[in-house]
Amino acid sequence: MRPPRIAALAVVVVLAMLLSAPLVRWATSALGLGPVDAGPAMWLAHPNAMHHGVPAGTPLRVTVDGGGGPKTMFRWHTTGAHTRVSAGTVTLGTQGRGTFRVVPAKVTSPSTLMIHLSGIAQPLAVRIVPR
Amino acid sequence: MNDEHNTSAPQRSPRPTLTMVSGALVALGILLPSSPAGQLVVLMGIPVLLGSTIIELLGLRLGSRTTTWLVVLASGVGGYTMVGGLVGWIGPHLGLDRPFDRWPMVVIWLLIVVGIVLRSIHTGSDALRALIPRPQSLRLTDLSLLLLLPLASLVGVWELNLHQHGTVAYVVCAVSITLILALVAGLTGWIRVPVPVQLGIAFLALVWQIPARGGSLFGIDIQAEWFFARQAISQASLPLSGTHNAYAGMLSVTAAPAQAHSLTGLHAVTYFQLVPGVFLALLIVAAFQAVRSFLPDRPSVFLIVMLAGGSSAFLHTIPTVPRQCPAMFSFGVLLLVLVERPEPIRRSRLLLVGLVCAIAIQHYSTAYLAIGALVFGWLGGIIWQRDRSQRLVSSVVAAVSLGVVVVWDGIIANSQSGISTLVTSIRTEGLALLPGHGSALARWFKGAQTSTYTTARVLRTLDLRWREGLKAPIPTAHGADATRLVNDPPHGHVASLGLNGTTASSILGGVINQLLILALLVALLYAIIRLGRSSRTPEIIGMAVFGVGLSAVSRLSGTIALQFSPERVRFQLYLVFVVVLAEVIARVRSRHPSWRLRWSPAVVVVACGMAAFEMVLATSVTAPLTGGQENGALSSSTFDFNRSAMSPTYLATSRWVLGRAGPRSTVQMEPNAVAMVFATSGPDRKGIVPSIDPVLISRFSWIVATEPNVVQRRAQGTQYAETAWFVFPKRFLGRHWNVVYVSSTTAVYR
Repeated sequence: MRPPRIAALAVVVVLAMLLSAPLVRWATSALGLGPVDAGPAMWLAHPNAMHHGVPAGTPLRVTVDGGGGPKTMFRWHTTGAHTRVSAGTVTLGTQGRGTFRVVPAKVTSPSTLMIHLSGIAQPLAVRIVPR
Repeated sequence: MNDEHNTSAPQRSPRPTLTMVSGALVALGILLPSSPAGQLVVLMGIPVLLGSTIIELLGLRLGSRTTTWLVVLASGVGGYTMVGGLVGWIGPHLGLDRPFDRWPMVVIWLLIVVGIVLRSIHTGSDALRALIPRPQSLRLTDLSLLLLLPLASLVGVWELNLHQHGTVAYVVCAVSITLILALVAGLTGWIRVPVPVQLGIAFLALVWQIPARGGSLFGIDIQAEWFFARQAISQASLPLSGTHNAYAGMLSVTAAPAQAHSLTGLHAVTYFQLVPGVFLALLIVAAFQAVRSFLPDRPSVFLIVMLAGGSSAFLHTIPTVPRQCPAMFSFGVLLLVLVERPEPIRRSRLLLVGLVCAIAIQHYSTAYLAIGALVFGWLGGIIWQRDRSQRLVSSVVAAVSLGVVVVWDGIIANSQSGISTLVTSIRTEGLALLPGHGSALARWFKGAQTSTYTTARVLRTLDLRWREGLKAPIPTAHGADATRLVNDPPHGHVASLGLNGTTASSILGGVINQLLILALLVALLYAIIRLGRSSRTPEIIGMAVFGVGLSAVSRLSGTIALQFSPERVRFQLYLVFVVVLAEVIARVRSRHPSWRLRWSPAVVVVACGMAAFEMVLATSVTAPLTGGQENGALSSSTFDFNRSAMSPTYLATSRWVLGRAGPRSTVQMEPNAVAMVFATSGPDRKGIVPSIDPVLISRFSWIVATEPNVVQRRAQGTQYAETAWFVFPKRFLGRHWNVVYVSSTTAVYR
């Protein structure tokens, strides 16, 4: 292999090193291929979510994300081995996200809270954060 | 490379341009921000620079460019791994607490690369020149088009993981098999890419369909290896603290990925998804090259396809065992060196010892087999090679190799526990010859299976028997003993899961495999009786004698099969046999020209038919057409996939439950699901009970339900190597435990 060809090949390799990262990102995005995501802490195959270890009486902020876009309204209610049943509705905002508050009953800690959502056509992310 | 023989040793030139430019590119790849091309340049460039320098220092005259590439890569990968081991071990004693961190690694490897380049300038020799193919044997356009096949293989995996669309994966599989069959028929002459490279690319595309399935890593052992790789990256030194596991002593899963991560930012998971497949493709090329020393291209491809397709391990198990892949490649190159016998012999002996060292630090059981075979090879040399100066496996080579394997694998890597467990098992249970059910012939055909399938009722009986043997009783939930396990599928027909299925194709496949075994045995007998001292490879005949004994024992003994994967053992030994078979065929052809052992059109049709049958059986590529059980590499809805796939969701569940349960709690799940614990906490995590039979579930356990349990409502149980499937006891669990976590495919009960 002659030196000019080696030099040309080296330039191509350097360019590839500089450009391959954005190129691969672009190609995977164009092909609709991304990393397989584990999703948030809880993905709902069935329209309910559980939170373990809820301290007694602590209010919880429940955020519902995705699931049909803005203005979608879901009904929710809570059950669980040690929780008082409560219920309500939540409407997703412009970001496709809605929030409601749940107050578990004063029971022996730790307790398990189960939040059921109905009227869901597709998996939905739910995040439960003690406030 | 048909065949592009190197006419000379590394050439001298005023300026070693190739080495200088390659060194500069590798240095740039290390220093620039992480990118796929940079990772490729560094991970390819370091072994090539290191390996070609080693071969030049040894002054070996290698036969062809393919052989040169293979020997250079094996030496380079071995050297790269050894440097990692040395730095990881010695660094902390020299005040370098975390030698696997980025900057220590960057400095060390830049010094090595600069040293290689300076040496090359000083001596005026360009070691890389011997690797450049002749222009007439390679057209870059053809090579680039062929390389699209493995890339499409990765796209197919992504498509399956993300969207469950298997079209691309099936097309890639079909095209790869077609390419292989075209090579058997000799129809690829118009592709200006050397035959070994075409073969390697076809197998790379097939192998790459496996390890990344599911979104993380596919398989069980690979999860533990990934854990130890992450430990090596986070602890940044060796030996890994907090474990005495033999996996932690294998540098192929610790030092190698940790260095790759430091130098290029490559994640351990990506390393295990991609790199082992490359070694397996190279192994195929090495085996082909060894066979090709005796036979023309087409019969050589045919033998290799029968070896790879006929082995149940090559396209299923081995790609999911990354520690074994580089070791198998080194073993393949060791065989190639024994076949090609590069001059000078004394330097070849040094290369052999180096390859054994590489195998020893990469994988212990491959090393045990390699050293056993080499000792027999040494005996073969004594018996059949009168001229001592021509014996490649000399007494010194055998003794030093044995010493290296004993010191590293037995003492440093703690892998002797596997051997002592095996000895104890044989003492207590005997060899358990021909385990399983049915006639002796049927059991011989099946081989020593590590698990046999039974009904849920039998499983319950076995579970109760196991429970009776416990010193402390299990505090089961109320009514557990009153439950009963219900077969799923009904009547316990495991054939519907694609297991134990006695179909016409599996019977024919079994018959072909038995004929191959018979051919190998006849070839070995012929080699011993007729070839003997006239053999070109007396050491390999000795190694094959060792292989026959061990593969027979591994096929017959259930006890050994439980400790070591018998199909992986046999695949390694078949690599030896196939070389003997090739030499015997070549000798018979030359001695009996009247037999007309030619590659005639009729022979081509039969060979292509057999090769197609074996490859289709190994990949199940025709399953959608025939309605058979699909391969987990090609479909996400199969039993095979559910058994071995590890999704990010599983990992999130495992991290969640192990984090909350703490180190002392008992966590229960079905046996296959234990892989998720291996991935997140390693194989040493105590308190994991692989059963969800109600009679074995403690009231205080955390119970993890995986996709087969949650979605298909089916659970697996294994006791005393008997496996059964039963209806997931959801109602029983729901009565006594709370569901504390759900995801799309998992649930956790507490």
